[in-house]
Amino acid sequence: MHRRWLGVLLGLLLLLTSVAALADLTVVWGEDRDDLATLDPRITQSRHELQVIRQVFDSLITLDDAGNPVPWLAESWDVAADYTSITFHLKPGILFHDGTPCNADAFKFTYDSIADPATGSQAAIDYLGPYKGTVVHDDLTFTVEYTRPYGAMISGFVLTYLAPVSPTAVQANGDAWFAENPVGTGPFKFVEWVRRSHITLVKNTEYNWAPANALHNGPAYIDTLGFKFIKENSTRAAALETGEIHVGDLMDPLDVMAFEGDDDFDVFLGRVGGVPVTLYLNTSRFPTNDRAVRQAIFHALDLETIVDNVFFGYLKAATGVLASSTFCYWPGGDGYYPYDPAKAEAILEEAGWVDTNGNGIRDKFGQELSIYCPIIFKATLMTAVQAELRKVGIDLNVENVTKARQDELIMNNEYEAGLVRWVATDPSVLGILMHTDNIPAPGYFKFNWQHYSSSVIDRLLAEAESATSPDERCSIYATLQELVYDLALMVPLQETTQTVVYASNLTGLRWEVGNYQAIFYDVQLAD
Amino acid sequence: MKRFRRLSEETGQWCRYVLKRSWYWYKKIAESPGAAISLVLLLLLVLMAVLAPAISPRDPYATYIGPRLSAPSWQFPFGTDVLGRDILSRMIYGSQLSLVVGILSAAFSLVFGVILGSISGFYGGKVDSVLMKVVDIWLGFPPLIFALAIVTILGKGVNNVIMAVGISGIPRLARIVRAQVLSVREMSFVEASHAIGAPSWRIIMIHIVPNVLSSVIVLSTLQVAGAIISAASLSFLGMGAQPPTAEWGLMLNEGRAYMRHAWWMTVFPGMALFITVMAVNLLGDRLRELLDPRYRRSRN
Repeated sequence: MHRRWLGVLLGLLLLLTSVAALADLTVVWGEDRDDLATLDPRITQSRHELQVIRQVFDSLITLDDAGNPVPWLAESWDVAADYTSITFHLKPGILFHDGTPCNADAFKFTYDSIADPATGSQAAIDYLGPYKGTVVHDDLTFTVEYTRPYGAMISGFVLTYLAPVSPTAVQANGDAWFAENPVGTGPFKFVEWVRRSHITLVKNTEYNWAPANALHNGPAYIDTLGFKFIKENSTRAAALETGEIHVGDLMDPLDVMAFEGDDDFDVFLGRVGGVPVTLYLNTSRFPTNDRAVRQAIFHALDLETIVDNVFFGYLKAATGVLASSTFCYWPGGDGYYPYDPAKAEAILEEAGWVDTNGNGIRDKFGQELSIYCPIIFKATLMTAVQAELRKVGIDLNVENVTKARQDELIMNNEYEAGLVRWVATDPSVLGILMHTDNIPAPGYFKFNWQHYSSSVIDRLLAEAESATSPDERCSIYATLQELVYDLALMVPLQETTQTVVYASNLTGLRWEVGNYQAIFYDVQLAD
Repeated sequence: MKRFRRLSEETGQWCRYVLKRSWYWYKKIAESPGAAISLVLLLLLVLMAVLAPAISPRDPYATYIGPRLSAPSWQFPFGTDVLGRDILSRMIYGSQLSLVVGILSAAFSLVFGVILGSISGFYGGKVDSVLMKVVDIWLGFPPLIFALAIVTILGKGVNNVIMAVGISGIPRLARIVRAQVLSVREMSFVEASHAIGAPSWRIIMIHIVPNVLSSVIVLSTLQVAGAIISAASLSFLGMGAQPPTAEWGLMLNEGRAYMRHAWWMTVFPGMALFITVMAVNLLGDRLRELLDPRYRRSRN
């Protein structure tokens, strides 16, 4: 008697749990940062924010795995022969999550607002290029015009930054509200964002405008998509093991190694394009204003061994101003300054850097060869770099600081070296880091941290931007990269690698080409 | 000249008195086995800190002297960290900083706490009420948060950590000193000094401070333990010692990421911190037992 009831109860329980699982199929992404500031694609410059934004917003075009542009919101597009405009033909019937039709006017609104300095766009404005305006032909056709030839336009439109935002939502509630309540056309709708805790999205049941390279069309398979902020690497690993999260972002190499041997988990390593983790050397301050010092740093670092040791062979040493997977990467940086500590010492001696007081650090004019370097990430890597530089008599004074403190030091020019990485698919990112206009100043946080103003570099950047053939662009960027290497303005250290671990019952996870951001649209979860 | 001689004579007397009392207290302390052990431990710790260059088996800053993350072995008794540095050597060197920061910041609180507390207690009235209001507000801040704020303003580095931890320890001492001074100043020998026209500073220095010192010393001892923990916490949070410094809190922070794979990176510096703080606390407790009148009464 007892046993039969128990059986019935068990059966009921099973039924209930399976119903629950059907009703609420949730996938959770474990995110390593918790200080997200905005979910507005027009404003963001953070890959952590983009990881969420990508699920809520769609682009006009996307890239297939081979890197060729394929239709998404645009059915087709025509680039003007002189590269001064591009005309898009939209798919019919696309709706924003608030019901607003996603038509040509919405795109005009989006691009006009990006170009408006009052919006405060941090990255989208750079990818929009020399924007002149948008001409609306009819509901489904519009032309984006440029003030001068812009060869990199396609590589901008595939990025999340230029995704259309709902004009009704922005106009009714303002930019500040929109940053916290994003309304796009994507396969997932925004539900809630509890700061420093989690973000919840639900599937958009109206969705049927998937990109050409997606595995299916129609609504997403999973009902709910969660983003949980778990800063601690080891806590994220534990959360994966307990099933609290299904996907763990930027896992520690040691954890990746452990998960690789586990059948319940799969590992994904994506070599991210853009600018690698790079030590930018401030040419406006002593002692990094000395080119000999900057070149000696290159020669003193056995980066392959350092990176291999610190990251257990999972990450790669950087070999260029651009990451090796980036379009127009110039391979000449590999071996340009070979590892040769004796040469580093010789260069320093020749330039007059000698250790006169016997403290192990070289000096000149009575000032120590000490380089102040505030950092906000990569502490272990930097400690290893510091130890190597010390061997040739250079003191790299690394200090772990907060983001706010770092930005303050950068803007007030109170540093000799800083650490930057930038995720991008297109070499135009070099402009963000090298153009004279981007030298930081009080109240002006920009990324020319080397404080190097050069009309040659500016001209090369402008020429590359308006070059019309890919070959021409790349040859200009190659000249630029070689020049920068010769000046030793920055020391590329380590290529950014997306180390993602996910439960092996999760299928259909796709990765955006170049930045390897996870796309959850096709994801299914087996029992 | 005469005045100077008298002063130096008094100082000499005072020193002799202190020495005699120290020996007496040493014997008293050693009566409790826990306190005796902690005295020995602390002595060892001081020796370790002083002799660090001589006794540490390897250079604490040299990278890749062994394979990275190797488990404790005969070669590396406490293992190596992710950069292949010897954890035992780093731990030995770490004792220097912990002790220096602990003692100096406690001394900092002691000096300023005694000054504030004596002034407040001795003069009373408006001075007292203003000073104690300030101290009360000061006490309202949790010490670590207060230290964090100070380091944020002053910048990082060992000196600033000492100052930050020291400043956050002042109000507790000031309160205790004031309470003691309030009772001591009513004593007849203080009144007698007043009567013969001794200046206030002299009364405070010669008659009041020595008489409140015993209870203050107990509190300072406990303060040393708190200061060591606070300094390590600041380093752990990235606000204190900076890489590559060998410091226990910083070592804990560096080991944190590898806790699942290399327990020795956190366990050994953690143990060092634990043992040091426990020893200081045990000693402090024993001192309190001996000095606090309430304890003495309950024992008799």
